[in-house]
Amino acid sequence: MNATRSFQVLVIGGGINGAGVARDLALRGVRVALVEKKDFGSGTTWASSGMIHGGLRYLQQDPEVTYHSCLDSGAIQRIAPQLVFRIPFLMPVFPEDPIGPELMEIGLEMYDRYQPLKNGRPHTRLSREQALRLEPALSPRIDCAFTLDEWGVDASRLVALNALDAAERGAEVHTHCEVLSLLREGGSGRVRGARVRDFVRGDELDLEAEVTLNATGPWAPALAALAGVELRLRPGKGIHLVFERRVSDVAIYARGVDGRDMFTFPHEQNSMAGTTDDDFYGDLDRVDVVEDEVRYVLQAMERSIPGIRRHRVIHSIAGVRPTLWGFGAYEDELSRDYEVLDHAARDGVSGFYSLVGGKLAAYRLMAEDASDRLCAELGVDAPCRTATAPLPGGASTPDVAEIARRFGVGWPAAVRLVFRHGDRAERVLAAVPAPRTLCDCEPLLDAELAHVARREGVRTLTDCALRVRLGVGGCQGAACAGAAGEVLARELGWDAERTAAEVAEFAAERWRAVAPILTGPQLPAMEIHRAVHRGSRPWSAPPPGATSRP
Amino acid sequence: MTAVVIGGGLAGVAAALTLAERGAEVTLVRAGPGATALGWGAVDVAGASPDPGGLPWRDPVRGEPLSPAERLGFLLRSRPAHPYAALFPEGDPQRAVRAAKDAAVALDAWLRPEGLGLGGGLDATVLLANVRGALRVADLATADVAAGDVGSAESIVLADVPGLPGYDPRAAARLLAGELAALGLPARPIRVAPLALPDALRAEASRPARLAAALDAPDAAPLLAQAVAPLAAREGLILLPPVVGLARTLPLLAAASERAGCRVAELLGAPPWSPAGMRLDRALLAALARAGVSLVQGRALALGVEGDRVTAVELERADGGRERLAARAVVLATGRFSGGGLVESGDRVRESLLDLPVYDDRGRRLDGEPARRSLRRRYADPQPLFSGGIRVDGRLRAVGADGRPAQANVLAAGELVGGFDPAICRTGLGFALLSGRRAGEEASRLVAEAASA
Ligand SMILES: Cc1cc2nc3c(=O)[nH]c(=O)nc-3n(C[C@H](O)[C@H](O)[C@H](O)COP(=O)(O)OP(=O)(O)OC[C@H]3O[C@@H](n4cnc5c(N)ncnc54)[C@H](O)[C@@H]3O)c2cc1C
Ligand SMILES: Cc1cc2nc3c(=O)[nH]c(=O)nc-3n(C[C@H](O)[C@H](O)[C@H](O)COP(=O)(O)OP(=O)(O)OC[C@H]3O[C@@H](n4cnc5c(N)ncnc54)[C@H](O)[C@@H]3O)c2cc1C
Repeated sequence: MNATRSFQVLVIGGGINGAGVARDLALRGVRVALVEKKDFGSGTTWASSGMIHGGLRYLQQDPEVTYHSCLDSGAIQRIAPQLVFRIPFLMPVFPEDPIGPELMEIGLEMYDRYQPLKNGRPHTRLSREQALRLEPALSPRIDCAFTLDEWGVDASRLVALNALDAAERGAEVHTHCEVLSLLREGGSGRVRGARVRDFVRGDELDLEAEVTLNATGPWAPALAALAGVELRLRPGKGIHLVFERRVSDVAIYARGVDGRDMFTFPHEQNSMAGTTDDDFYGDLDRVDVVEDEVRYVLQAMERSIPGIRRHRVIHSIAGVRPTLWGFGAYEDELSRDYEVLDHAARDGVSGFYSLVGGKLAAYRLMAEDASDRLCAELGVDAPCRTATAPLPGGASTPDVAEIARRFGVGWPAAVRLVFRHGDRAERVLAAVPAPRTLCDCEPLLDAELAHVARREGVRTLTDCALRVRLGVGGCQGAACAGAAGEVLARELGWDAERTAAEVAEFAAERWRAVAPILTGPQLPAMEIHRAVHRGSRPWSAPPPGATSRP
Repeated sequence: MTAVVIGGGLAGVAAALTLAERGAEVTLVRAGPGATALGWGAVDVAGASPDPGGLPWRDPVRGEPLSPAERLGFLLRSRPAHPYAALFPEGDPQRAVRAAKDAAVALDAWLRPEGLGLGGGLDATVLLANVRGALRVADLATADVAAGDVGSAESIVLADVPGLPGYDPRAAARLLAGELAALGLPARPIRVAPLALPDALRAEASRPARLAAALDAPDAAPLLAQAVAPLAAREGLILLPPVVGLARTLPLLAAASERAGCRVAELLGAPPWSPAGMRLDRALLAALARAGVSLVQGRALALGVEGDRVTAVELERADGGRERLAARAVVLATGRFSGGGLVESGDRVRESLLDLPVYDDRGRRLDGEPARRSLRRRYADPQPLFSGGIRVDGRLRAVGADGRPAQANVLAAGELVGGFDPAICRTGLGFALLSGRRAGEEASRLVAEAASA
């Protein structure tokens, strides 16, 4: 037991919402601490589709959600222009579809009205021939297709940038620190911060705060229970399958047997397909993809893209939406709205708030709302600046060609770096004398790893899957995890044993994402993965499975 | 009428060369490189592993380090599912050691003309460091790395090649020291010293394959020797990263060693880049050509069966053409998933050519269900799927579901034969070599029988 530190606000949970609030408060000059039990965005946010859209889907039940998401999407584009990308969607219409082209057109016209909020283009209607020419992977059975304009973002990078900006503006951020209990005045009075366990250092610390915010997403009920507060969500599990390459250049809508909308969309050099939405009652720390979900998604995709099964599924991502409680509705029909709960008014527990529900696309607005409430309680009177102040790297867009030339890196590596780091790309490249790519799957540079270890608070090799997309391609870390471990070892001063243990843990973590969906085309890659990670393990590394982290 | 070998990894090549040595007419059909081309340089007959499921390095009771022959004996006694049991049914380790020694001599002779060779042996364990500094407790290895036995070196110098990706000799030196300690071996000086290559060569260092190719140039040997010489340590060992040529590795090392006056060897490779497998693969293909084995680049699609035997192999050549080869005997050496011998199709695991039954190392059938069914969630757990393969009888005939030879003249060798997980029970290339030779012998007998019938 050691150091106690004091803040005005303690934010618990480093998903997009917690990181968003921490940044908002830091920008207002509030002394804030942010704690995350794993790494930034490793919860629901990593599992999201990363669409900062209005959600055509919510237009009927929840036009408010659509409006706010579109509005906030526009703001996110302003503050992180480097990190957003346009995702043109194709919506095929099949002869048997219950909603024919005419009805569809009406819905899309409604959505078009929101498009200007997020710099989107109006929809267009394509003939069968036009659609097939645009996307030959599409089923020839279609009647026609519509185009729809949306925006995507690298969701875990967005979380990291919010946390980073918070830190650069004076917030204290802790990853791998889990809140074990809340500090209470006189044992059961006002919430006064939390006791956290640092799983990397293996010690505990007390973070005292005047106000504590529970932003733990689907874990919010468990965290609220630490204060004796009952908080109900209707958690909905969703999965994505990740393909080794791009299945299509544009995103394509697909319909499940139950009529649900899904889609496949390009992300970096992969494509992702999803998602599902099923009530979830299991262990939030072990959300595994099950076979039924894989079949359900592939079946839906196959209708739109008949050749989809020829593509190699390399891994899967599963997460749980922190959906607000609702009874007697199907999962899809539940509101995507959010709530800021003041537990003093609601439950008689003062100094304690929860922020739950919502969408990635509206995170900034939610964070603003929550921050306004917290500032009111603190008596802080500073305006929100998150809609205009750029996130790190977002102030200007550097010239990719110039960077590639100056640092002697390939064009794809430079593009990737500018996408992720914006105007800080040069600073990243300067982190090592001669930047080199670590993997053939994706042009990840050792310089980026060194940079995030040095400047962005990466603490474990496993963090790097989310932080820099290490080992999330076809090799799943067989080719790159060892070398990446050495880069981190240099930056973080790990000894050889710690490095070997980190590499082993990384391999095990990738296995967890692959094993549930491992099929034919990926089997050779995983055979090689084992030859690498089990077949050349050092003698001095701890035995497999002996890591202490949860 | 010939013998047809399907698969061009070490198992298939060993079978084909053995057939050719015995005067048989052989065709080898090969779809491409397999697991053999991915190795790091060790050719494990009975390599030890730190894994709980692997072969031990010390005698579990007496605590003494085990010799390779003792490890092989331990394996024959304790792992009845390992396919060495088919090669050595009487379980006599001495016989197995003799067979391994013979096979090692044969493999060495196949590799020598290509500037490669086999080193190490079954009498003493060699401790080989890889580019990360991790130690492999091995027996046979390609000669370039086998000469780098760390156990017998009083002092070690790791050559630093500035700019070479994936190689950090300082980190390797630290891990290596930890490895020696973990194995209970005495510490010894480990130094890192820069290899002063001429600028023209140094410029290639950022692309290891390019550096290796550049070192193959005729005038490179003295330059390398000159750069290595200053690193020399008496009674010592100089270890270079595995970039010493692609085709002339041994002569290059020999020149450097002579100049330095001490042993000069290569480190074992590690991902992302190791030339060892590629070199081995190349040298094996060259040996096939020298022995007059006809090589068909292509994929066998089906086997034509008449009565109780296979009479033909249907294949698609790499150029797209179809071909039907008449065969008196067939050797299946198609490897596992990365070779192509095992696939998952129709949502179940299967052997790719005859749909032979596939068993894991506990005797459970794997071919009735999808791969993911037999996967365990924890990476640290044993993964039965990766121990799986077909079974063979005592004459290496591939066995059907009834436990009897599936066909009278279909033999199998190498990793296609299941019963061990090569990542943990380190016997991959050793078994490929031994079973390939034996399958070649059996096949030549079948060809001779068919000819006299
Ligand atoms: C499959 C799927 C697809 C989605 N797609 C989209 C989309 O395209 N667009 C969109 O706008 N939204 C999408 N969403 C919704 C969106 O992802 C979520 O609304 C959002 O990510 C929730 O963020 P959060 O910060 O509230 O929760 P989380 O990201 O889960 O963050 C909570 C954090 O709290 C941490 N934590 C928990 N307990 C503790 C503790 N005791 N101590 C410390 N830390 C703790 C967790 O580790 C976690 O990182 C999707 C959701 C899913 C599941
Ligand atoms: C990354 C890695 C590292 C390894 N390191 C070591 C090591 O250090 N030491 C060690 O002893 N072992 C090691 N192993 C294991 C060892 O490589 C294998 O056990 C061994 O190479 C198997 O040889 P094989 O000839 O049976 O199969 P493979 O080498 O896989 O050869 C199979 C061949 O069959 C061909 N083929 C398949 N189907 C068809 C078809 N239908 N028609 C035509 N051809 C076909 C393939 O193209 C290929 O040529 C390693 C394995 C891997 C993957």
